[in-house]
Amino acid sequence: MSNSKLYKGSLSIIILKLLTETHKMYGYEITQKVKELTQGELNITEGALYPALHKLEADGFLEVEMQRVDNRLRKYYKLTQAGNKEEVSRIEELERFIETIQGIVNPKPSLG
Amino acid sequence: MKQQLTQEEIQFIDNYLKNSGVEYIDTRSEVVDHVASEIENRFIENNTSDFYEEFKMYMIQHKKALLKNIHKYRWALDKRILKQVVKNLFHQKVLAFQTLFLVISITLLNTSLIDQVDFKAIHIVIAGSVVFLSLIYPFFWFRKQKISVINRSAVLCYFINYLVFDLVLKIVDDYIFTYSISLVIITWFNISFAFTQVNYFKFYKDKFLLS
Repeated sequence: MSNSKLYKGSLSIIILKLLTETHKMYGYEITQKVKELTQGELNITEGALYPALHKLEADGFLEVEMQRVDNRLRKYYKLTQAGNKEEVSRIEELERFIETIQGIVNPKPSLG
Repeated sequence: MKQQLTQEEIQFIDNYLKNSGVEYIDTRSEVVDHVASEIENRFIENNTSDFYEEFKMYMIQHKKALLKNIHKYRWALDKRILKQVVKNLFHQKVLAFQTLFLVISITLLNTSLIDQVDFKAIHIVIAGSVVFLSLIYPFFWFRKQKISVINRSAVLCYFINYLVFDLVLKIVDDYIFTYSISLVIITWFNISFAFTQVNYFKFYKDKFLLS
């Protein structure tokens, strides 16, 4: 993953967001999707991705489904009902955060 | 151009990870899939089909991160198991077994048989069975493979029983009252642990054996 702590703090939001758009995904697929969406800017490592996925699963936001694909077992992650609610709440929180930071970094010129 | 790994190559990755300390089959299968997917992707990107060369390059770059992930996994797993066990405390089957235990205990208390009943022995048998069966039975059922969630739940079950009976009861004064209350609560937890393990067992049996 990119060294930025900003990205690291947003990993669970990224996972939740991707899973709302795609019904189910497996670990490697998530890394590739993020790479594609960010044109290679964000490269999620295994060391960051799987603990985040397992934490979301332990918190009850994700459920798993296993399938045999290409000679091996594949673990798919899906959002639970609680995960759907969490995604909405975290995205709203992120948008408020971006807006606040935007106000500091790029303040609107005052009319007075 | 080859794009998919063979069964032998998948087995090679699995054995390598097992020998590197990734002991649980459920954890390992996810890592095997990740490594295999990356190697297949490299076959396409690098226009090659040299499995061993790509595997070696991948491991040089990522082995540390992969193994670090495994240790982080344990706490998330324990948390997941404990949440499920607490949730299952109120499952109707668990409540039914706990009620049965209470009814038998109260009935015995009101009879002369009470003097002949060793509740400590009963507790050791119940807790011991949960731990023993969760470690031994799946071990043979899954062809000597370890399932993280079942093994860890056995460890947690043992730890909670040890905590209550070997530590808490040694520091309390009102032994009989505390012992009775502890026995009721710990039996409830043990029944829930057993119920949770049976459910996990069914889930993994379907996924790892029948698929």
